[in-house]
Amino acid sequence: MLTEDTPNAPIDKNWADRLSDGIAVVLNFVIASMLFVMCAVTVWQVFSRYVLNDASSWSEEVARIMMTYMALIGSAVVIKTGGHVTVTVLLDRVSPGILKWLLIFRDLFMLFTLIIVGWSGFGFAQMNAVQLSAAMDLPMIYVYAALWLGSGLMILMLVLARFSRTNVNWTAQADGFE
Amino acid sequence: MLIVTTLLGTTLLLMLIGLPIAFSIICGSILSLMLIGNIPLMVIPQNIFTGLDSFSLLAIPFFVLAGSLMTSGGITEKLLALANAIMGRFRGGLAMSAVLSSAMFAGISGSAVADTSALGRIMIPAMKKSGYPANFSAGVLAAANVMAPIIPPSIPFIVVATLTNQSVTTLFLAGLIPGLFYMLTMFLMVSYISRKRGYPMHGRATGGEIWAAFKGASWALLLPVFVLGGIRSGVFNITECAVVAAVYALLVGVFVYRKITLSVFVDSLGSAARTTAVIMMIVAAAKAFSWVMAYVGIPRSIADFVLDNISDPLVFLIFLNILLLLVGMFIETNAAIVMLMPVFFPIAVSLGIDPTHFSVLVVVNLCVGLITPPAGLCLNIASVLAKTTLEDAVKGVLPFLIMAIFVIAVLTLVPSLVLVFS
Repeated sequence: MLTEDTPNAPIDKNWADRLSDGIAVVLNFVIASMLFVMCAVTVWQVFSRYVLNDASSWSEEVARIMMTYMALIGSAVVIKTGGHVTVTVLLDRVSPGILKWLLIFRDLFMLFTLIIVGWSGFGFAQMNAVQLSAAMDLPMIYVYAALWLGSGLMILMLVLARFSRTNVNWTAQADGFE
Repeated sequence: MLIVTTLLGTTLLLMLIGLPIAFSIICGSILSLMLIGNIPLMVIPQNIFTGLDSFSLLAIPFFVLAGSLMTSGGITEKLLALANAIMGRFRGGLAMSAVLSSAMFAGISGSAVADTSALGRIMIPAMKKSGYPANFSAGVLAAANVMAPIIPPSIPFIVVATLTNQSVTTLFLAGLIPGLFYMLTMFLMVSYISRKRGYPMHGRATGGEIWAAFKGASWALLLPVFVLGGIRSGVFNITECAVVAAVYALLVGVFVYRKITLSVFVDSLGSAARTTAVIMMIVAAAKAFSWVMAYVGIPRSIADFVLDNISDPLVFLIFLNILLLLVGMFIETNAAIVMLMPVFFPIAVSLGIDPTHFSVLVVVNLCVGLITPPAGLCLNIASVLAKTTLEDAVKGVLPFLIMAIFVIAVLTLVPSLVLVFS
């Protein structure tokens, strides 16, 4: 819901809160590092082309692989804080009783979507397991692993959000989205 | 027909019950595939992957990072100081300044949502304190930030260019005049309303004060010059240009403004990574959706229908504008681009419409969707920051929305405004 986050009475965090907070901190650091690596290799690409006159072949591939991982892992990080872009016009206007049911349905559909993406993504990775990437000869099974890994992390964060005491509804926050 | 209804119906319904847009789009696509029956669900992850895996789209995280580093470097206050110094002398000066600072911010960042939240947090409370009503403050801020994705750098233009194999450079330059034209109409409307309602002036800054404010902000103002110069000269491709912008923002933040420490830097990286993840998930989801649409043959039916019935490009553009305004009310800009561009771009080209002109129209129109209720993101954020209801904020934004539609009409009728640099 788009409501100003007023400092409510502090709610005691339970194990699920602490676990998901901890995971979020770790994953946050992981995706931040990935973005740093993406920047570094792209700067290197510019440098090698203009200064060393030798276009690097692997830098673009590294950056692209990092981007897929960053997007899918990052999507898991923002779930509980309500970072995903959401339409809240209906949620803001229904009674708390109806809201509760809508959100249960929403969570079930989210879970369904993630299970399908994760499961068929796993199949997709296995099917292309022996393919090699264009520049670095990296087996594509590791590249496509981002799909099921990201979906798995999203499922984990979704379930933890349900067990949590704070921000159970993981609806969007006042300052908008990420 | 059943499949089309399922695809669109479930996606919209899921969005309404609060499933994040990206996942609503994926879920709608999955359900339609299940209904069709004979296609392996693997095409969903495959298309999500294809949607994420693109070198040109790498420009998005880098531009987001550049914006995030500039904000951490304390640039918001400096740009606002400059805008206030220039605009304070006019009636409704603070509102004018909100428009000007949004335009300057647009040259640094490519995301309207990020800008509305960064500027609105400071400007909206300041405007309310100076006696502007909450709905007007929210309306001005939301409407002004529609410029962010029109004035380069712009995330939607990067997405459009990637989808249609156009040059990002051409599109960036093509967005410049429409963006400034939009700014001008916003100034006119703010000025008109401020005179009518007698909003306050905020004192005349001396030339020296303006110069001092300008010097403070100049490092940030150089960034867009740098970006446009870099891509225009052809020295960098768009992704490289974006990364150079991020490095520049980092150096300015560390050595000139001296606000960026290691922990601030790590925070900026994390925040830019999260923002990118959210944007890219939507783009990737829309890619899967667009695959399902193509499989069912929707683009073809629409193309046949349009080309059988419409031969005049202008009539097509008018219908398209109305359709896009409706779509923009409900669907996020980048998602709408990924879904609609493959359908309408070939039609436009076969009707002889200039690809650049068409792309700019689509982007400007969908960006206006950021301030249309019910799902206008900028309007929603501004209404929350102004502590007012969405209904009230709609009243505040309405005059500006009319101006925005006027801008779309002018851009439709006068392609040369878009094609100045091409």
